Amino acid sequence: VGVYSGLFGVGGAVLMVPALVFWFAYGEHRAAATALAANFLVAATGAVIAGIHGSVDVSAALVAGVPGAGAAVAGARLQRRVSQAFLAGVLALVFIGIGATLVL
Amino acid sequence: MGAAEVCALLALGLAGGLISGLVGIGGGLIFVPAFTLLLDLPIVTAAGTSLMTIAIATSAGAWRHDRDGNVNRGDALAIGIFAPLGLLVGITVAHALPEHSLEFAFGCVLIYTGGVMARRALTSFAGTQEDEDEEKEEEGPPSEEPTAMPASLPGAPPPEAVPELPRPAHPVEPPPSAGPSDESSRPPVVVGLGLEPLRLLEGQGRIDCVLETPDRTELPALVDLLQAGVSAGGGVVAIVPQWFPGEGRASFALARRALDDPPLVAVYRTGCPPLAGAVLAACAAALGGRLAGGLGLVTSVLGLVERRLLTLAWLSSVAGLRDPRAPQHLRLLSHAPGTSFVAVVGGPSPVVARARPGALQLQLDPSGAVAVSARRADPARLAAVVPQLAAMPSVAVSATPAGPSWWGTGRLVEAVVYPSDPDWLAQDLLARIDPWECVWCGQLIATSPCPCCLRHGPPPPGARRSQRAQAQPVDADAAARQAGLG
Repeated sequence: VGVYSGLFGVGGAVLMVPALVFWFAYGEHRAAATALAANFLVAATGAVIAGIHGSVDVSAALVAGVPGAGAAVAGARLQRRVSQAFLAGVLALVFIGIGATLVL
Repeated sequence: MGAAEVCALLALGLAGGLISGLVGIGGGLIFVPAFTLLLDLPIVTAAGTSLMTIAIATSAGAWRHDRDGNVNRGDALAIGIFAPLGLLVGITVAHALPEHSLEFAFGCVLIYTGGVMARRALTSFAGTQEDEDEEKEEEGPPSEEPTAMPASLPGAPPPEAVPELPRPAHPVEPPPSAGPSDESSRPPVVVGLGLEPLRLLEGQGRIDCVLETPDRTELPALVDLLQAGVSAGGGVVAIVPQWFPGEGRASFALARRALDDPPLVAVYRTGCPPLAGAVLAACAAALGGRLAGGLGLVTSVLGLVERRLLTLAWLSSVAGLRDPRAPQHLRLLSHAPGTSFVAVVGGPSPVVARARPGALQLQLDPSGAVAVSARRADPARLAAVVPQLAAMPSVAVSATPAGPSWWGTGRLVEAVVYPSDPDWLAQDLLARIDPWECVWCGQLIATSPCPCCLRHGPPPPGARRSQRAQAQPVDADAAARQAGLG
């Protein structure tokens, strides 16, 4: 996960969720929640390191991040109301979409 | 930063946050290019800003999930601590390799993963549709079989839609008439949460089932169901699988407490797979008329009965199998086309292996029978792997609703080997227990805590032998008559 984050400069949850589901036998709900918690730790560490090097636009991060926090809580609440099949379908669309973007 | 840019960032944050909370990904793949395009930031600053945005957005979602108990803190902490070490390696490798080739390779991995997830979603969805179709097809005339379900509970068909029970290999003669009413010796009614009602053994009593998870609004119906069982059988043996959703188990506990006399609903919690749970309920219904010790004694021996059940399964995939957990190489192999597996639960040690003809040689009870259910697969697939099954009396039963979620695949064959002679089973169980009266509720029990009042109460040292005489098998004919009282 760390290597991937370093390679592409993004969080590694896209790797964590399928890894937790397929290799560690997590359900989709628990995998998504654990990946999110781990992603927070990775991103926070990365942000501190980037901040030390002066490569963070704090105002832009706050403008996008604060409403993002509220939306993440709404997403977490919404997740409890949807089925594993629906969540697997959403994940499939997200992965295929991102994968196609990277390949093309 | 202009107003339009602020609005765009707000929308970006909302979309990224919603996706991260819903599916657990951070949104960095969206944030990095957006910061570069919207704010004209250098790629390094965009990546750093993206990381801070992700940290802020995911903090609330992670807190919310943790509060709901969804987060495995140990694994999250391990990933969070070790991933930054990988960051350094990743940055070094990124500078050494062509970026586009890495993106192409990872894109292929994501498309493959997305395809596998889509297959899971479609399989799960197809399983749900199949259940609904089966329920529609099985609508028939009213049945007198012991499968009464409360019409007001979710998923419970109305009385005229009670599914016809499969015919067992050996004839089950319904009791000709109810015997003389004796309040104290009526067989208890069995209630199974999430378990299909099965008729497998001679002289089975009544089984009521709650197939779907009851929420708080269905509490009155659940109370009525338990009360009806107490009225009909003098008591209820409730079988509560650990895999039944927590909300349903909580509703059951509340309904039980709402009764005038909660100890008349004895509770047995089981961790066995769905079909084995249904077979266990059938065994409990058969033992109810054969053990004259009452409600507490029948529930006390269910642990011994469970140990006699052997569950075998043919599975198209073991990637989602949690108990028993498959070895890593078999999980990976599950994604290859044409592979199938066999799992054994309930023996001396759980087994998960590739399904090959004659692969498993098991010591099966020669006097036993086997209940088989198949979902989108040929039952013969399992018999090909375990040849001994073909020689045993077999009962085909309908697919278990909880099968796909327990086994982690929608294509499977489940089989449970069970003792087919309930009279011998009752005799054998009685020889293995040493019952006593619960000091709290007075029920005759053989396990502590008491399954009726749920309080701890070890046997009084001097009272065991004298009380054991009360736990005798009842006359077989009388048992058959009693079984019909429900």
